[in-house]
Amino acid sequence: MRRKLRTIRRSLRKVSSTIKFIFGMPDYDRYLKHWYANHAAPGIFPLSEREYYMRALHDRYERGGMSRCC
Amino acid sequence: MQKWFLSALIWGAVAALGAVGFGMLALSRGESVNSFWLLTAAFCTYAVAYRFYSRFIAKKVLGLDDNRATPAEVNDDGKDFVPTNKWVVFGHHFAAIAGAGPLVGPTLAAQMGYLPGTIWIIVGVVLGGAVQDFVILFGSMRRNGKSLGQIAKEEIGPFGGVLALIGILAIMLILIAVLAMVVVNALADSPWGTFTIAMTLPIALFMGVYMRYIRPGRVMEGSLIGLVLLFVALYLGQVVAASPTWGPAFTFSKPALAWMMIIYGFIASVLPVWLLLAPRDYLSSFLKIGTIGLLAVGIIFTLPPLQMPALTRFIDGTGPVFAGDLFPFLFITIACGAVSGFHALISSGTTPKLIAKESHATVIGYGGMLMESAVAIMAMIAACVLTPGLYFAVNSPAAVIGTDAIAAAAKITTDFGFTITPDQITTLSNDIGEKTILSRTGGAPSLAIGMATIFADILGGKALMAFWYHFAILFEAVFILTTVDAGTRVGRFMVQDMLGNIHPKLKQVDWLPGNLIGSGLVTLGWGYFLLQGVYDPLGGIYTLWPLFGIANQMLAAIAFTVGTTIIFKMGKARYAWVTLLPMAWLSISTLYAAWQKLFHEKASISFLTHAESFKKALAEGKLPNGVKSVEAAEKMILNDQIDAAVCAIFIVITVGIIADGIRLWINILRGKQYELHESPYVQSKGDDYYDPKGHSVA
Repeated sequence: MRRKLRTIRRSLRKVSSTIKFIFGMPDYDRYLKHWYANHAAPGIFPLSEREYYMRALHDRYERGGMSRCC
Repeated sequence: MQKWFLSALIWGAVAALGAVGFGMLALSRGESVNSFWLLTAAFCTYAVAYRFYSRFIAKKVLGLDDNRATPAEVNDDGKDFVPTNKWVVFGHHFAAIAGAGPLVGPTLAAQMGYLPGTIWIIVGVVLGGAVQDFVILFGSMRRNGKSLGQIAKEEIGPFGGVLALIGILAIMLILIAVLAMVVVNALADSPWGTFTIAMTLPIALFMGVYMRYIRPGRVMEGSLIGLVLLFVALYLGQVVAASPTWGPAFTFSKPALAWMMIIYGFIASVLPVWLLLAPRDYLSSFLKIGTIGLLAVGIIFTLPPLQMPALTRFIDGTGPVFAGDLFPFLFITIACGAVSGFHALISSGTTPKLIAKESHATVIGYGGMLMESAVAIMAMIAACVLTPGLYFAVNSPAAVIGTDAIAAAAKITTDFGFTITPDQITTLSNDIGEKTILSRTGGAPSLAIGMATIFADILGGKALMAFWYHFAILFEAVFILTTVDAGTRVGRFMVQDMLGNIHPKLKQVDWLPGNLIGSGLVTLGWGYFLLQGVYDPLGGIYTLWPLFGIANQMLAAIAFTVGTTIIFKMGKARYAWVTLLPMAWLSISTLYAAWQKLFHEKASISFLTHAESFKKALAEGKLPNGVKSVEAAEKMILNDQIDAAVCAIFIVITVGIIADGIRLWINILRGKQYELHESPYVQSKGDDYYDPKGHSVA
């Protein structure tokens, strides 16, 4: 039962992560995964969820670039 | 050998089925055709084109190479450049290109009957739109994700680059104005709709605070709460509209709504994104994809018959929805769904930075545009679900059919030749919970009625018709407003970037005075055109939509010029017809349409002739038809002159860039060598590097 629940939760998380990607929404899990794989080092820490959220919004909306069409 | 035979058999059958679909559409006379045939013709053509033409372009023309590392692989930074599963990128790309355009254009074009628009949507996308998106996506992918403007500058020259930049800014302003016009027309005198849309503001603000302070970064939670609140607002809208005190409080005229839009656009561009823009964007993304999906399901389940004839008498250019003959005006009225120049900006935006392998660009670029075309086909079906009489009652300007149901019904029946009774008009108005359906121009209301008819057929019947109608209006208005605020912001960045040449500090997007000046200029730009449309007795869309269509197709002609130049420079001149053909067609029809808008002898088509006729009337001491005062007439003359000037600018830009491109092509054919500004070749690390199942790289 517990294992089943865990599988369901994991696939739900995957679905939500895919949806976030498609709509260009910030995805903290993806950021952490990337951070630990590529930037982790002793003495430095990843951004908090709020810091990451604000940075992701800035990157998407405040750098010019077209994000949608007519 | 056997496999080859089977494949030939299957594709032969698909092609034959598509041909049958077209035959049913074209040859049926007098009786209504089922939308099934429309869908068959469209999807079989898409399938054959995707299987053969897109593969031909990928292999022979562009030479996609999976051994060559994409920008996503080379620069993989987990942020902008992320190698991603191709279907996820497909979804991302489609969500970015799908908007109001493919819904409104076909609805307006339905005035000529379903056949011309349908053929243009299907043929246009296969030979034009999908090719454009694909080639530009490819070009940007080979150039580290550069934008169309940058590519134009590098490949054609600084002159072409500057022209492209001005063109892009101009089309943005016209696009925002015309889309805002659609919303204003849909919400005028509609307290239910206005209340629901007004409520999206506090809902978005709440979501913004929620996702920043209450549950930082929880975008899915925030969006879900927002969507639930949105449906509550939709329900409350009915109560508000029925209330004797609140109903009038949310009933606004077009000018009032236009001013609200302008103020909203300005504020949204100045405010921080987390507060308003981002939450709205999320709401509209979900609503957009959800509703398009719902419409697809609805059409497939009900397969409604098309009430509109294949051709109406308005192919002669006298129609009340937009002026001008089938050629060239059909081809600028339907832009998105067939060929949309705007897509070139998206295809050279975020999408090329996410592609994991070059071969994926085929399904994302070409396939994504086919999907957008399918949306346009659905919009065409939804518009033709209405009887022609009702269609023209909704879409004809008040100056043509008047504001009274009895007079309008008489006018449509006798003058247009489509039978309709005053009773049918009032019944439909009551069904959808509006005071009147007459002259709700802009495409959104008639599309909403069509969608409500289809949805109500599945769920709720007449009882839920009003709810479905306002749901459809909500959906269109929400994502149009998102385009308005995001577009104003993007326009602001472009203006600030240009102003930065005068005073460097203006370039900083976070410097408040620069922000205010940039936002003000952009809002003023599109606000002017919006107000002009609001006071236009012909309802605004009649005048503004062709201007938008010309701008959009001009951008497509520019994109094709860039694409052709790339193909020439790659030494593939013998395949250049792939982009040259659609480019020639688009530039001919767009320039011809723009020319007619300037110099046609009919006042209904040409801005300048229209202005002349007004001047003449004023000189004789008379007031032109439908105009209330001398000042208003003088203002309309000025508007005509400005519209004509904008049109002339579009002509100059298009001709300038094409001429610049042709000069280059001739030099290349004569043997002159030009540098192709591709990023250097990097060997891909192959499949081990990228995980095709997930979208993150371990």
